[in-house]
Amino acid sequence: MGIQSKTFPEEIIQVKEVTVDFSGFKALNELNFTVERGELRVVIGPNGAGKTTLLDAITGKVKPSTGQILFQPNERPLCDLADYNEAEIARLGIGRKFQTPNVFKSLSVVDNIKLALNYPRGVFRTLLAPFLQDGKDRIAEILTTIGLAAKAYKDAGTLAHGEKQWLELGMLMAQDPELLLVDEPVAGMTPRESERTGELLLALSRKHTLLVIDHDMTFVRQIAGKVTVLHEGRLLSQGTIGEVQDNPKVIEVYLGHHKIDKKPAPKTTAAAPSMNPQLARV
Amino acid sequence: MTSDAGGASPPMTPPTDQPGAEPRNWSGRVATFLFLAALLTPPLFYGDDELRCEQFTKFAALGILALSIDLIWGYTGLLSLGHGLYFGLGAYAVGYSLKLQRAALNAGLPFTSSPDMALPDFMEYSRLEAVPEWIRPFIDIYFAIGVAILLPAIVAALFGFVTFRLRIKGVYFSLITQALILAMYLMVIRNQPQTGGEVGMTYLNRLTLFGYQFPNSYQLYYLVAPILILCFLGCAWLMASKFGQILTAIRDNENRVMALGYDPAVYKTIIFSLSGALAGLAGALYVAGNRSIGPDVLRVDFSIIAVVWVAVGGRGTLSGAIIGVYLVGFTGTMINEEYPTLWKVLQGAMFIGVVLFLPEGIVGLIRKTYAFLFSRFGKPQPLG
Repeated sequence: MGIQSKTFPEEIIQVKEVTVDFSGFKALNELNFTVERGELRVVIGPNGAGKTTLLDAITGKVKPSTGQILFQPNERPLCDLADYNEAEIARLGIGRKFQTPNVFKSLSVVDNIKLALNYPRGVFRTLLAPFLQDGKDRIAEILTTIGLAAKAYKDAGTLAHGEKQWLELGMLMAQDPELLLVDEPVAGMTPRESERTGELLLALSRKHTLLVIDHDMTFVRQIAGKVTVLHEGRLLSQGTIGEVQDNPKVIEVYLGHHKIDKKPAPKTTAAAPSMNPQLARV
Repeated sequence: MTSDAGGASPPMTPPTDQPGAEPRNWSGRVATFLFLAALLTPPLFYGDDELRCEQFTKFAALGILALSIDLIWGYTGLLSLGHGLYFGLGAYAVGYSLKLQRAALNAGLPFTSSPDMALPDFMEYSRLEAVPEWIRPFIDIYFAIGVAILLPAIVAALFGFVTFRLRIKGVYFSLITQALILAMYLMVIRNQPQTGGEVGMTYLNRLTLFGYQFPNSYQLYYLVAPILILCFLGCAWLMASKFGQILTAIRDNENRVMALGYDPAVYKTIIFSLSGALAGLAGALYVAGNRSIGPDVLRVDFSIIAVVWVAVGGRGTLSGAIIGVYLVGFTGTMINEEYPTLWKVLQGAMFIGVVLFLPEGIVGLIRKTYAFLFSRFGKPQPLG
């Protein structure tokens, strides 16, 4: 696939010739990639393929050294994401679920969802919030969907690992973004939790466009329509799960994994370069 | 904080359960009310002891400083080791006012700003011809109080705007705050004619507001303590609001806040500025109580000790910040009177002890004990 024309309104995100360079290591290498509105797309690939970096580039956490990322919000003009910072990109309608559970541990489950609710992000609005009774029904509905109603007033820090992941998905529902980026939602989950998470994502995909990253092939089979395979920062293959699995190039990359691993693959630098919550708390 | 079996197996129950009613924290409210009422009592025990009343007046003012540190450190996770800067700005503003008033009083002149207004003693010693122009308007106490609150707010906002835009966090942030106050300290002691240098300003006039002169510290305490209580209630309301929750969220996980679409730099700048204003107000009231002001409040160790109060009392709880000041301050003066050299050692030991054994401070200990007792003898309930 080449560069897509801007005239297709159904393409919600277009990644064009994007390179992300971490001092010599190209986490993304002239990547071209598009997702259409309403799709549930899964991106797979071996370690260091650039999956998380792709999400970082879309959300503005890392800036591409070359190339362009375009976002097409519903009934609004096309945006070049290079013009926006992280918070602004989120406000445009791109939500993200990080790989590890990222809930606010000293706030209650309800308050976590409240902060995510789709209301203006300005300071004065947050000062007025107690008088406005924002979204009570919506919160109750989300709590029921993610199955955490009974723990609504517990601190999020006391939840089990799987529950935190669901709470994060609940926060994404509350945020109600047009495009939802989900990074390894079932890592560390039991098969049963993983299945429930799959159901939640499928439910979300009815109203949102989803871009999911995962390794777990059982899970990918459960949810995926279209699968994209990344390898060394480039697009290797794309198609249905069956097509992708039969593709000889994909088989080689996955089976010849040990050989590839010897090449530089500092995926940890790509995953979280600046985040150090311990330090920030001192 | 209630104990909770968070690690239990996740609920796979069909999604039918409704969220329970929001728990009403009555015991917490009662405790807060009693605590605030108790803040009004110390002078009743030491009514005719001017020295003790003066100390408690200073504690009340320093309580506001502790609140301001708690807002940014306890709630937002920004450790400022130079909050004495904002405190000092407020203190010197009111210090100038009361000093000019004293000079005018001695010379029998009215309290008005003019080129030939009476020269305070420290300016006379350094042979100044006249009061520097920028200092003159401070003779008006209302102007001075306005500056004491607004100037620190503006300085803190500018400082916050730059550092938070540049995403300076953690240790680096703390170090910059320290560098800044060191610079301020040097500037003050090296400009003796205008600032009083190492000595500062002494023999200040008594505070007069709306034609009423506070005759002694007993009366002054009942000006400062209600202001402290108002600040407490204001902070409590703010921290319970969605704005306050976002600050806590920034402390917990700043990246996630950004991914939700809030700009943490804006929120941090606003709370830092507000914290600066509170610290300035604290400085203004402190000077009124202390009746002298020197560069010791601009020293790095003063700012660090202020952080220690909050740590000992319990950061992230407003009552903890105030308890820390009163408790450390009161034991400090008690021990200081008997064994002057011992106190510094004990203060250091106390800080180490709290960091190691009581990470949530005294208030955290009280809450845990309370929750433990109730889990033994009754229904557990969180304590405000």
